[in-house]
Amino acid sequence: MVDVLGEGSVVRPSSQAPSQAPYTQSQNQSDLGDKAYMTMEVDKKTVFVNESMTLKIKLYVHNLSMRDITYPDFNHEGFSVTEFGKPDQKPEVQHGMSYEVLEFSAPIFPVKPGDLKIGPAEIKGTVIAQMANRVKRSIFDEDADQDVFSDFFGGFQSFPLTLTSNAVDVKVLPIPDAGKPDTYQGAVGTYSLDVQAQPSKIKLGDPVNLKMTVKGSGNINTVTAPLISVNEDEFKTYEPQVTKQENDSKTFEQVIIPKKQGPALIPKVALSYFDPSSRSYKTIEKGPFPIEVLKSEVDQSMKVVETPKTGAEPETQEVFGRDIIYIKSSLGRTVPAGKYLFQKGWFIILQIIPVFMLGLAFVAERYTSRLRTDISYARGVRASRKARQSVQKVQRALSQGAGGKFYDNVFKVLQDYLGDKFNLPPGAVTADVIAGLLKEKNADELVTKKLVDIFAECDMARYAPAGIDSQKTRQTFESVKEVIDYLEHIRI
Amino acid sequence: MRKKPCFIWTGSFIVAAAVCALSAYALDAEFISAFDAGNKYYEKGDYASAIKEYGKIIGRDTASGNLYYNIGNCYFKKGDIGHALLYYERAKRLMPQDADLRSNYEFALSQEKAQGQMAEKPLTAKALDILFGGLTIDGLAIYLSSAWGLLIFCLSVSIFSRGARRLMPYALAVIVIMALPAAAAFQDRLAGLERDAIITAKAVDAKFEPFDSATTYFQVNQGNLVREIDEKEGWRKIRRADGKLGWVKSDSLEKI
Repeated sequence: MVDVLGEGSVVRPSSQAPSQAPYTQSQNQSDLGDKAYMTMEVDKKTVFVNESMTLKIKLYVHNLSMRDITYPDFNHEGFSVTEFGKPDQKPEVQHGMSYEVLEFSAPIFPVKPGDLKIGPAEIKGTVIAQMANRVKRSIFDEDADQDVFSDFFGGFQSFPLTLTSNAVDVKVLPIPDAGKPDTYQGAVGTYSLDVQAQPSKIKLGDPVNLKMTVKGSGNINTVTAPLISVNEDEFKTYEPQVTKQENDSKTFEQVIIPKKQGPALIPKVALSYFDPSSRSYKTIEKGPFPIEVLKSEVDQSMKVVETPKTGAEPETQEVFGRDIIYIKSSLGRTVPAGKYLFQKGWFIILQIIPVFMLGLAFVAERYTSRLRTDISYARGVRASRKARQSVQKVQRALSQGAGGKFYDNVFKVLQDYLGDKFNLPPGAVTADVIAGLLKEKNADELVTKKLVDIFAECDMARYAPAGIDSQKTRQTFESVKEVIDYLEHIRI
Repeated sequence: MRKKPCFIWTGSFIVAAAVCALSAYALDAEFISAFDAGNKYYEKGDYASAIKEYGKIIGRDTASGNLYYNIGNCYFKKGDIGHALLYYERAKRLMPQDADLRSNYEFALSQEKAQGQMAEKPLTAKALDILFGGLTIDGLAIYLSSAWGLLIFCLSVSIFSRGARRLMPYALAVIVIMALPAAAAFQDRLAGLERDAIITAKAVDAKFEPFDSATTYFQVNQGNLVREIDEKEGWRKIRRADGKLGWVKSDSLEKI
């Protein structure tokens, strides 16, 4: 019963092959003898660095069911290995026995020169084997339970199995220096090159796309973009890009922009590679590619609207680099270090002054508004202000010497002053009224008497002006002065 | 005879004033000659000697924006961006509106940014910088003092005039809006006056605790502006612009 890839599929080495065995120890390869074994081979024993070679790992199985087979895992130091593809399965006869063969193959590339070793490779799987030497026992046997089930499932057992192959020695040669062309960039293999420059007719300023396809056998990873040597004055080139990569082909695209109008030639494209089969370097060249560069349409339409140039210079780059600005040539204003305005006494005092101003403004407002609203207060203030004027007026009358006029003046001044002082209408200012008010306010009685006397003198002078002399008028003046002075100094 | 002492007093006063004026003039002349000598060394590319010459003026407790600016340039040319930024900051305190200074400061900062990240200031601090960055601390003091004067003036006018009293809320609002951010900026400057510092060593480890063995919290690069919060035996607790706190060694920073 051969069932190499039985129900289970091939499992990648990274995943653990699930063990369905009831026994813990794994089956040894030697136990199986030539029923299952594994080989490893390469198509070349001597290769150059990066030369492609094919690694084949074969699993031989004879009359055995094996499943959950992993992909081979092997030592490949010094080699670049790609993943194995789906294995081939075919029958093969070896040593007179027929085997089911599972063949894994993959291209591998040595990455360094020297005597290298590949393998051994290891494959894990599960073997289903029939219990060959088991004697069928009766159902009355001690292990009856177990046997009943064993028989029921046909007496098969599964074992985990690890197979190991031989190792292969490979001699890796370095790529020779002799005859290496300048354009060689490390490609190894046998390649062909196809180049297309599209479009062949363009307008000035438009790009030409250079599509370069490299095809062949070998390590395609080592193939770099083919080289093109252009004149910088004629063309502007951009870095080539890999647009497509398969196992045996690689496509590069490069953008080239012609700088001049008229017919032009895109120069030759060259690809150099080392051909291991002939042990020599080879260079493929393609091109040159003729193209035609037409006048730019944009330019023409611009010319139509463009105003004639007035000799203006084309704009040039103004800023070329950046550095610090040069040192200052003068010391400039010097200040004592670490001294600030806000720490100065006068500055702090300056901040307090506005507060005083505000206080003053407040007081002034109170005063003027009282003058406006409080008539008696306003009159009192006016009286005080007039007191001095009043005394002066009396003095002037005195110097004029006219007796009757003097007393008239004295009376008027007093009437005016006292009216303001006590907030009385002019007619109400009489000796009696004033005396009464002064008494109310506890004024000096002597002064009150003087005032009453003055009023009496004024009356007398008005009705009997004959008895007035300068001595008397002077006396009256002094009394008036005294009285006003007194009234100004007491609080009423 | 009685006039003589008066004459002596006046005379001695004049002499004293003259001596003062002369000595001040001599001092100024000394500074200018040191400054010019520094400039000559700079022209020759001898930046260390230039710094030495400029340093003579600073040693006499005299500062000038141009002086700090030139010293900053010297350090920049020497490749010491930390000290260059330190002196540019010092110059900025005296002449924040100088265009050359701003340009060089930004250039030095961009060089340092290319080396390692600089801590970003919070948005409010940035806004204050935009509004009042062009004023010196004295300028801010005058600005605030004027706002204060204006406030009092408005209040005084409103005492006398009923019409003015009606407009008072608007006037007050305008003054407050103008003065409050300035007050915040002034307060910040005052706080930083004695405590703002520039990291002058390269890639300084700021630690959780003031020991060599303490865990490193973050790193501050040279040129970073930090504020000192605390001090302990050779260590300084700093606050970086983004608000992170950590302890660094005292010799890795210098006060502005």
